[in-house]
Amino acid sequence: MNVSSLSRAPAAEPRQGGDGYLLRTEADLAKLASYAIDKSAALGAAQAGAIVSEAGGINIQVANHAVETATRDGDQSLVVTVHQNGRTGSATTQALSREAIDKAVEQALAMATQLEPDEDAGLADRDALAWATPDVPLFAPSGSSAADLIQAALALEAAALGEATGDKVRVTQAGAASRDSRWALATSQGFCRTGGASMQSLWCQVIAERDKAMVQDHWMSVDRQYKGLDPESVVGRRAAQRALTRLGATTLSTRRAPVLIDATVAASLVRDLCAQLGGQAQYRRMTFLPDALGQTIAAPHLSLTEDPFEPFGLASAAFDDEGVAGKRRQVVEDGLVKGLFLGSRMARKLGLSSTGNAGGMRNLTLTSRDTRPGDDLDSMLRKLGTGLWLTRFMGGGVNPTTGAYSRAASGFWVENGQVVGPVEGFTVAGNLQAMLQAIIAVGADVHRSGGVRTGSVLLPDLQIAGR
Amino acid sequence: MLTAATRLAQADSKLLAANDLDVVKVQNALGGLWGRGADYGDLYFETSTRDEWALERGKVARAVFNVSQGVGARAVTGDNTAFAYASDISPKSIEAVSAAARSMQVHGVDAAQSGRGVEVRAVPDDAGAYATIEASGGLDTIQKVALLRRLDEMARAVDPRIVEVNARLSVEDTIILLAATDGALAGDLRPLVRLDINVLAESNAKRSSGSSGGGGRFTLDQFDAERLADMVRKATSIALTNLDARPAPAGEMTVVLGPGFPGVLLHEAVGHGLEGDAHRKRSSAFNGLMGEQIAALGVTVVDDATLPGARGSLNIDDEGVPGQRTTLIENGRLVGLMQDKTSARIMKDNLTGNGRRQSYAHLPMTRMTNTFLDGGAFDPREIIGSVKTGIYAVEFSGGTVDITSGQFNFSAEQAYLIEDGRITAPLEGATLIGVGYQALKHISMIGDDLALDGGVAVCGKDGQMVPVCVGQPTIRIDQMVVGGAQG
Repeated sequence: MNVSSLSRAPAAEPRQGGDGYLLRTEADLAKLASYAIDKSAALGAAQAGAIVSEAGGINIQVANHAVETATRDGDQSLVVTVHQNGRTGSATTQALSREAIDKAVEQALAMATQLEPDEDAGLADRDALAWATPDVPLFAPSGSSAADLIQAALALEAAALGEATGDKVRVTQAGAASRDSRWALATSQGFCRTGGASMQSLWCQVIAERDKAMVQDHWMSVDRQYKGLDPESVVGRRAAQRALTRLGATTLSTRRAPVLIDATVAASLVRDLCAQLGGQAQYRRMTFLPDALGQTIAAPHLSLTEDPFEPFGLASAAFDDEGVAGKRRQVVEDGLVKGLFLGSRMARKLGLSSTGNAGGMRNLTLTSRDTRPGDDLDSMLRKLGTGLWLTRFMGGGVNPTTGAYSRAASGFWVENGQVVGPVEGFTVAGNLQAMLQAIIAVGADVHRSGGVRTGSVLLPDLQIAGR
Repeated sequence: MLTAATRLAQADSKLLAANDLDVVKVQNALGGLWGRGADYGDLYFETSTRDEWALERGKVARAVFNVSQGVGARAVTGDNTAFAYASDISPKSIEAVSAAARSMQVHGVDAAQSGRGVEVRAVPDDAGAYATIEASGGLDTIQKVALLRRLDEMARAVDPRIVEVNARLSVEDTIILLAATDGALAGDLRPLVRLDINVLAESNAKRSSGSSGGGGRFTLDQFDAERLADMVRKATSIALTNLDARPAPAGEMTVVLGPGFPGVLLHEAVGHGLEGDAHRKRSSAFNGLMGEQIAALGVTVVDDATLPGARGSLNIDDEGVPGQRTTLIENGRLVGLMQDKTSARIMKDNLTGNGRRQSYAHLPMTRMTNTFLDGGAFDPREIIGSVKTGIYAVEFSGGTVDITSGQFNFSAEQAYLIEDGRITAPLEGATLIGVGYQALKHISMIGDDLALDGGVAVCGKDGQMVPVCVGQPTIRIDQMVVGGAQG
């Protein structure tokens, strides 16, 4: 955290709509990044890149109508990467004094001289850099003080407690946080761009109790803009309702059944799909679908789009960690793989171009051309007919090389489109490769989970293991 | 002499003296932090260096060097905690973080009105679980690269079907110093090394991967030929056996878990539910069961921060409490909880040295150190031989738990079918699930081959990651749900 910003008392601070959480401007950060580049050049690096970032905010958690933790967040760091004769070295420092930056550059250079060469490492190609692409609006400081966030968190708790019926509701944690960040990226090609982003969060963790049985669940709302958050009353109530509806769950006997994966958790399936298309997975062949481009990965009615430029999108970026801008594109079209997620190094290794994904995937949306506007949850439950409506995943996962898929889960048993009751204590299993190709339908009940949007996903048949 | 005093002196020199600070200045800052009627306050100083090396397709062409340092200030009133931190250690920064933490407090009177003085004294003894050493053990970059290349060569030499080898080496040194309003003053130097290998086997278009790793609070030169060979054997054997793996069965059955990392079962099914903060908040399924028989006879579970050189060991925890051995379950009876200072104070329980934080930028919580199920009397072969139909799970990739309902799950990376007391076909995709207090009662045989995992476990809780160890001997659990794809 920046020291001089700490001498202010956040609790007493009025809303100022501006730079309350951060000390440095984008120009300050650009100066530090440029300094690291200059220093690298002075010490003999052929190529260098540096990212400097600062983040800060306030995080409040309440329980039992009182503040449990109040945290003033603040982080800063510089990452410098140098390339010399095909060799790469990288160093990170959290101190941003000239002395600390000098030391990081020296470390990176020392490392580079002793590692083995990798011709594919190195800065992004000059022509690929985002020299003049538009900025994406992501910075929306709430200016919330600790007192504002305490009020919001207490409102969440009150809303959740208000849902208690014959069954008890306890709030183990209700929280509100606001955080801003800024960064600058510079390279020895003369590239230097800056950016900023904000994040507002509300969350509520609830335990519902009936007799001796306890069920915990939670709900949250996350947005870059304060006005984009769901109201506290909605978040708190939803958390309580989710826990309450799961009370009295029964187990399922071992069986095969169709499964509707609820929109709130279906993003995990999209992430499992995308993990096969990452540069590392493709290059190391740690995937069930090596040489994926052009191959079938999902049912022919499905497409997956990526949009790096969505204003205030949770995974938006005007340029990636190497300064390359992504594209609005189809990653999967009609079930076929049209693109991978690549940074420069992996792109070179695979004989392809960077897709601007150094630093991660951008906003993704799974769509089916068969989805109709009326395909809401009720309609999807009718399509499910008799089977499992899966609303919660626990651990487990996918073996990437074989696609073997097995996860602990819970949800509701459904008969003829009607919810019978909550079920828990079972796993669902199959093969991811077969599952993605077997998807019957995607609902219009679209939910955003981080950078992924999808409706509920209907699968024809999974193995359920229970008692 | 490797005593608590030596460690404190070294931490003082690296964290305080090097930054124009001394104990008196720290005491003054603590006095300020203690304002507004706080019950407790502390300042936590930390500096950490970590270098990571990656071998990819036969080459070590990637490495990252990371330095971090900072100070965290905390003021606790009842169960209300105010916290601030700075990634800079200086007289100015400790004043600033103390002021920020104080300003985040929402109760009590103003600091100026209380103005209590604080005097800290060195904590006289610590666990002495690892030496005051640097993790690199004097190995330079060239030797680190050579270590990874050797692992690569060894793995490829095992079998021509091993077609890819990736490996990572991480070398970390963390120095901490803690000063608290309860008078505690302690320092620690914590080395941590870790080596991981991941291999890919390919045969007739079928592909499978296997991984293994090792590490702990010791120096890099202790990765000798034997340790490397053991890692290579494990990773390649998982990949090669899984080439022939068939989908695991689905349903309730008897499970035999191998020694070492399968102790993740205990960590998830029991460990998290016995952390003090979960009892203070009444969110654990084990709440209110102290003294009761919660597991089968013969089941003894221990959290032990004093094991020499183990990954989860702590000379001193992050609140200045010496690491110690705490028996949680004794012969099936719940006898102890793990505690941090806040939960222990509110619950009026003993401190156990389990207050841990990911870094200066995170708040301490109750966390495990090295947690294991103690050894029993059975020969492991006898345990496998006792099973008519079931599965034998040797290696796991990890697990999770819902402490409130007690439901846990964990995923097998290497597992076999047991038929008529004999290990037969290898299986893939086996997630095991259960409910903690039920699984504990269904432990029917405990082997005499207690082992800790190789030193690779990372425990996550509320977003904070800390290194831990898990362990157990071979055990038999009846009536577990195996979540395979084969009905």
